Amino acid sequence: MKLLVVDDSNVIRSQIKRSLALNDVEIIGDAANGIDALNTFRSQQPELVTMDLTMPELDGLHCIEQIMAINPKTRILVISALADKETAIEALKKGAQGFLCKPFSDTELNEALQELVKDE
Amino acid sequence: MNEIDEHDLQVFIDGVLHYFTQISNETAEVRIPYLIKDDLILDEYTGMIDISGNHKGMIYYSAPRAMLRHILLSLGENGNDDELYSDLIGEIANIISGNARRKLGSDFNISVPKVIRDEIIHMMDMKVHQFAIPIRWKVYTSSLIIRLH
Repeated sequence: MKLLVVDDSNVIRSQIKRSLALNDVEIIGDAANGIDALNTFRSQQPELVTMDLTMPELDGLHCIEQIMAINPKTRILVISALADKETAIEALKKGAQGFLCKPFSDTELNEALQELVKDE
Repeated sequence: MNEIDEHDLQVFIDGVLHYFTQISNETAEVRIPYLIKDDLILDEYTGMIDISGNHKGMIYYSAPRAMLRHILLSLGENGNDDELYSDLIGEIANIISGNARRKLGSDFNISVPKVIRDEIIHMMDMKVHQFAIPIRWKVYTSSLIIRLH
């Protein structure tokens, strides 16, 4: 499965890429804001997306909405520092399937992604 | 607008402790918070978050370059340049502020981080509660600065 990594922090994008240990998941690109994420999403058509929420240009919640409008089968794991329940519920309502709170460990990231792809 | 109290401060202290335990399996030591009364000289790198909603003000996390280098290594990042340090300090400020919403709620609105270098915070508005929380991790000392009202 093709994965797009979206986060405005280069440190976090690199951490996600380094930590990924799922054999059937291939990272096909990354983006530092919602606009770049949508452009890469349209051109690369990934099945999986990790999505930050607090980003410049276009935030993660709006980006999720637009991704789901393009392809509602996309599986989105939100990875955010926003730790309140309301934000997690809102992200899930907009179409995300999982929520991982920063800071995260390698194990937590892989478990969350595994949960997302297990029915494929 | 809610006033900041000791429970709010504890939320941020818990966030700092959680961050360092998660990235390094090594507990940070949080020293006694103090009220800032004079201008405050920041460390080499400072991440700033604008707060709006049920609180208004700023959260700063300030750290020396050597500490950021060590944190990057703990995250498995071998890069070593200003851009990475600035990115990291902004992300730490973002994580500590964002995690505080678990207790302070979704009306504790945070901005994307801004980064400043080698600056002084001028304590012009003394009506604002201004606390500094010294944080010791390994051999380094950094500061979380909370200016909220």
